[in-house]
Formats: sequence, C-alpha cells, structure tokens
Amino acid sequence: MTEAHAAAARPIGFFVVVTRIFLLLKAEYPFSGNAAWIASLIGFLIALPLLWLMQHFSRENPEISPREALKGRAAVPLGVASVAIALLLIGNAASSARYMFLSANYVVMGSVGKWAILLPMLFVCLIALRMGGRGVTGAAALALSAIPWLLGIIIVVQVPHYEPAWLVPLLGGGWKSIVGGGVRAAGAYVQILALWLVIVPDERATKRRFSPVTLSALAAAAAAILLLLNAMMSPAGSDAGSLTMRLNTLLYNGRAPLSLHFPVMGVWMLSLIHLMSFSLFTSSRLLAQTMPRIPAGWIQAFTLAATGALSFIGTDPIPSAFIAASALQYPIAGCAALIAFLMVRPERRSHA
Amino acid sequence: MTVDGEHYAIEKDIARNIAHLQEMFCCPENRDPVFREFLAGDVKMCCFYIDGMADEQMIDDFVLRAMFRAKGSATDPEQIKGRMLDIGQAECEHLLDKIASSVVNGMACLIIDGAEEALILETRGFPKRGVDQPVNESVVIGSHEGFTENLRTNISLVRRYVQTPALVTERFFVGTEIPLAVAVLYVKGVTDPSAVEEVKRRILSASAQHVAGIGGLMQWIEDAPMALLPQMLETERPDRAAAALAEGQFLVLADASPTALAAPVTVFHLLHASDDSFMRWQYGSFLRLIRIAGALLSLLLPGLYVALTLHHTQLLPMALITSIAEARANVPFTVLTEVLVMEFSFYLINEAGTRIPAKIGSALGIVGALILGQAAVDASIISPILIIIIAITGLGSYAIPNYGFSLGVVMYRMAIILSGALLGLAGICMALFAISARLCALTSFGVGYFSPITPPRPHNPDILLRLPSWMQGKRMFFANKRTGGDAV
Repeated sequence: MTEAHAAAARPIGFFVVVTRIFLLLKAEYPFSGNAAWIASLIGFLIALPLLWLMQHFSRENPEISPREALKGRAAVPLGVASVAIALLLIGNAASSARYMFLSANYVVMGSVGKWAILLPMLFVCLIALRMGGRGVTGAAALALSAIPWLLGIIIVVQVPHYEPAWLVPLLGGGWKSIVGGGVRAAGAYVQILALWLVIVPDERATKRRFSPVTLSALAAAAAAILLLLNAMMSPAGSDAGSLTMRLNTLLYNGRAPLSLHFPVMGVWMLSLIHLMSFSLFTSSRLLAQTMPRIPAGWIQAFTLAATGALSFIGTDPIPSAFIAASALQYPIAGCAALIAFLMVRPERRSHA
Repeated sequence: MTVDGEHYAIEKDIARNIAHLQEMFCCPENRDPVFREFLAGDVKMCCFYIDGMADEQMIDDFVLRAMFRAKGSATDPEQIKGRMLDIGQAECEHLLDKIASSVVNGMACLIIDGAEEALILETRGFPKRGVDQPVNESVVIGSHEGFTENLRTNISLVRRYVQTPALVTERFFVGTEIPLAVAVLYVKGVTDPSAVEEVKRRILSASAQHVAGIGGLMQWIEDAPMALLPQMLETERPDRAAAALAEGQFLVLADASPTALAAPVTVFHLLHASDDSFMRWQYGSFLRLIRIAGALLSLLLPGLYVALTLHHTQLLPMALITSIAEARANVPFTVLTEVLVMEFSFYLINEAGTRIPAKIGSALGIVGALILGQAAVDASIISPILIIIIAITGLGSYAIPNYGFSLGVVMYRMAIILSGALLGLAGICMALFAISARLCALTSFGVGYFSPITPPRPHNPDILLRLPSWMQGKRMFFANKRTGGDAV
C-alpha cells in the first residue's frame, strides 16, 4: 500500500468534504432548508480552530509528516485516537455504500438487490486499496478535473429554472436549524484531519505543503455555491417520506430538466464511490501506521470485511444509512479534540 | 585455451583457432562461414566472415589486397592495423565468443598465426531497406523519414536531428542464446540520469534466451508489463524520437526493429501526434482536444448506450427514447448482445484489413459494408442507431495516435460495456473508478502515468494543450533537475 503524498491528496480532501457536506445538510439533516449554504459556512467556522491548529502544527514541522511529528509528543494517545478514527471511518464507508445502493435503486426506479451493488462496490474499493495512495488520490484528482465540466453543463442547462425568490426567507428554518446544520457540517471537515494524519511530504511537488485551512475554505465555498444553486430550485412534491422524494430533494431540490438526470447521477455516484474509497484508504493507513507489524493486506481485508458487514446490516436501508453517518460525527469530533490536545501539548524532552 | 574456464581465447596456433571457430559455427554442415587462408609476407593468416553479411568487395579491396602487398613477418595485430590495413575501423580482440558475435553481425575477422589477438574489421555489407516514409505514423506537416531495420542507420537518423555532442549512445546485447543488439540514447545533462541508469539496469537484467525485437524488449523493461496500456512510447519517426530526447526522455533502439521506444511517458504523451509541434499552437491544441474527446468517446459511448437503454430509459428525453425503441422494434437480440456482436465484427474487419493482401483488400470493404451497413439493418439483426454508435466509437479509437494505447482502450471499453449492462450507471461509475485508480497507480520509469495532473508536477505547457513556443520555457518535469529542468 503506497503512501498518500501531500500534494496529491488535496483533490480527494476537497472532494470528500463537499460530498459529505451535501449528504449531511440535504439528506441527514435537511432542516436548514434553503439556508443550508449558510449552515455549511458556519460549519467551516466551527471547524476553523482545529484546521488552523493542523496548519500551524504542519508549518512548525515542515520536514516530516504530521503523524511523525505527533508521535514524538505522545505515541499512545495518538495510537488510540488513530484506531478510533479508523473504526469510525469504516462506519463512514459503510454509510457511503448504503447511499450508493439507495442511489442505484433510485436511478433504475426499481429494486436492486443489496448484494448486487455492495459487493461490486467493495470489489472496486479493494482494487483501489491495492493501488494504494497513488491510486486513490489520483482517481479523485481525475474525477475532480472532469466533474466541473459536467457541473458546468448542469448549471448552464438549469439556469432558466433557478428561482432566486426561493432563497428568501434567508434564514430558512431559523437560526436553530442553521446552527444545528452547521454543527453537523463541521463534522465533514474532520475528514481532513484523517487525511492529514496519513499524508507524507512530496519532495518533487511544486507546492509541498498540505494546507488544511485553504483546502477547507475552498471546499466550504464550493459546497456553499452548490447548495445555493440547489436552493434556488423549486421544491419537490408532497410525499416527503418517499425514497424518491428524499433523493430528489438531495440532488435537484425536486425539480430539474429530465435531460440532466444522467450527468447529475453520474457526478453523484462518482462522489459516493470516492467518499467510500477515501474512508477505506484512510482507515487502512491509520490502522497500518498504528499497528505496523500486521501486514497491510490483512488490514485492508479487515476494513473491507467490516465495511461489508456494516453495510449489509438491517432490512430497512433508508433510516440505517442516515443514522450511521450522523451518529459518527460526534465520536469523530471527540477524537479530533484529542488530536488537537496533542498538537497544543508541549513537546516532551528526552532525558539522555 | 580458456581464460576463465568458460570463454575460449585466441591461441598462437592459427589452425587450432580455425578449428575452434569451425566447431562453433557448426562447419562443415553450415556453409555460410568463409575461412579464407592466405600468406601475408611470411605469415599465415585467415580472413573469416559470413557470406552475405560482410561486404566481399570491401574485404577483397581493403583487406586481402592490402595484406598481399605486405612483406616481412609482422605478427603484431596493432602493427598490422596501423601500417598494413586500408580499412577504417579495426579492433583487437582475444575472446572467440566476441569474435563470433561480431562476425555474425557482418564484421570480418583477421586471424594471424603466432598472435594471441585477432583483428575485427568493419566490413558490414548485408542487404538493408533504405530510409522510407513511416507506414503507421503519417503526418500532414513534418518530416517524411522513418526508421529502418538497421540499428546503425537508425542511430544515424537520430543524430541528424539531434546534432549535439551531448547525445550519448550506449550499446548492449540482450538474450543469452541469440543476442540482440540494443542501443540506449540520451542527451547528457537533459535526461534524468536515474532514469538512464534504471533502463540500463533493466536491459542488463533481462534474462531471456531470445528477445524478439523491440516489442519483446519492451515487455522486459517497462514498469508494469501486466497493465493494459503501454508505459513506453513507440515511434517509427526519427523527428519524434529527437523531440523526445530534447524533452528529457531516453530512447531505446534495437537491431531489426524499425521502431524506437521513448520513456518516461505520461498518458498525455501517448495522445500526442508528431505534427503537433510542426503546426501553429492553435491547431495543435485543437487537434489534441479532438483526440482526447475521441479517446473518451471510444471508451465510454457503447457502455453508456447499453446502460441507458437497459436500465435508465427514464433518464433519456422522450424523443430520444422513442427513436431508440422504434429502431430496435424488430431486432431480436438484447442490446448487450447487439453491441458485443457489432464490436466483435468491427474488430474482426479491422484485424482482417490489417492482414489481408493489398490486391484483394477491396473485397474486405464489401464484406465490411455488409456487416456494418444497411444489409444488417434490413435483416433486423442490428438497429441503425447502434451502427452510428459503433462508427463513432471506431472513429474515436482511430483518432488515438498510439496503436497499443488504442487497443488498451478497446479492452477497457469491454469492461465498461459489461459493467453498464450489469449495473447500469452505477456499474459504469465503478468501472471508471477502478480503471482510473489502476492507471493513476501506474508509473513509467518512476514518473506518474497521469502526471502532471496527479501527482501534480510543475510542467511545460505542452501536455494537455500546446501553448505558444515562447511560453514553453521549461523542460518537462521528468528531465534532469540539475541542468535546467524544472525547479521543484
């Protein structure tokens, strides 16, 4: 399993944060309504201290990977936090797999067997894991260079349907729901922390630094713009409990020209696959770094098996998928707080 | 006499030397070796060469005639080389193995009685093809010279385009039983020395008994021989090879192969054509975009058609889905069967067209028109819309300038068609993800296959598009960093 280099890791960091914010604010906590774009920016502000701390810590230790620098301070708490984040990322991967299953069901307007989607998903993630950091980050970079063109087509075709009037009232469901959404959106930025823990410096890149604040700011801006555009579309029909309604709301706010379904679904499914591969890769790397004696292949097999088992649990897929992802945000935030504590903790001096 | 228990060396007794060589060349069954014994002054000598490989006129004029004029009893090869022979290149050699390998390459060997070394004389004169137009890499604008099957000629062609004393040619032999002469060319100070060392290491560690030309050699030296896409650029154009050297790539040439290998390469190099650099930058950039679009269409179009018509008819506009349904109304096969049959037929015609003798080639056009044309539609075997899909796909495939790359795309396309048929859009997304992860993990002599996109590298603006020449101030990111390559 090859490493993820700092320069190459930026696209996947951007990609997964935007996708996760969309999932959190449009599907799992849709109460911010048309003010979801504000919630995403609030989420960035909430996560900013942690992101700034990561950036500051990296600049203090420019020659080595962040993990190596943290290890010098407190190896055991770092190991505990890494394993906890890795296990929670497995939950994240399972949640992404379920979303993929739901989306596949939605797009064929029929019923697709769970195994028919989840097993191929696990198989392609296995291929990506075997390709290592270069494969996972590279695939995201390629997707990210193609997706803006698809989004451009989608936006241009949608322009006549955008309705700025739908942005008012500006605060949508009110401050309480916006802040609630913001707290959840802040959890999306914790993925940057997981990535930050597994990257290594890239000696040959132009910009060697991995800048969590800049990367997250770009992701927050992109997510806010996409949510803003999404909010300017008219709402969907009345059957709010149906799967079709939920995914319609998630993807086009219920109304889009039929011709756009195809590129929108393409972008959406690619994003979910990358989200899942990212979670599995960072999880495997964190476990491999914490337990270097265990062969990487075994760790990959474990993460895939655990993801498969979690994603197959339950007969009713819709609530399980939503609960899984939302519930994970809080323990991940706890781990992030522990890592943040390690960063601000004074360095131990060795007694020769 | 053996020198290290394994290799025979020349002895002072000329008869024993001749006997050894005759045994080595399976004489008297083998009738090609010629052992011409004569007296030069008082010294017995033998000129040994292979009939047809060496130039007999040259041997008569510049070796035998010169030696017949000799007087005295000089046996020192250095003295004979310096004072008696009229030939330009001559070298002393004492190992029989090396003498044999030189002789099979068209050299003549002068064995001298009483000397412990023989002289290898440059007398190569075997029949060879002249420099001609490249067959598979035609251009609109640019040079019309192509490589030939002769290694020496090919190196000379490259030297004509790269006129610098820094151009280095290193020679090797690959193959334990039947050696193949191989040359590595690079511009010192421009090519990354670590890449040159790596290719030399890989060439020397190739343990094959026989390497079948440049294609066989490529499998021994490329980074991932199991990958579907090539990691070295094959070219039969000396101007393109010269451009590769100037960019910081090295070349590998092999005897009897009218093709050069250039590396390191990225996927973008494989989509470049030779005349890009001969055109104005606007035209070069535009044609590159067309090629990239062609490659993407070739990869995705049939898979998307299968996924849409099998699984996602509701994602298509009503007019289009009605048109497809009407066109398929009388076709008895599933969309997948139809696409696979058409793909197979297309590449069957393609392959037959490559192998068919030119004089009966017109018959193939008739057969092709029957299979891919109106007759098949009238028979309700295929739908007209699929003919358009396959035609666009085929055109996209032909727009890819590299043959190996084009075939790799065809194989990936099959995977995408099957994924689309099984899982619809989700399957296509999964297949694309797996393919892109695999390709991004590939390297060509340490350089990422999708560099400079991923991993990001500083680069000359001549990768995806071709910007004006004055904006191309930097060398490629894989060139030597210490002597003017990109600062990192």
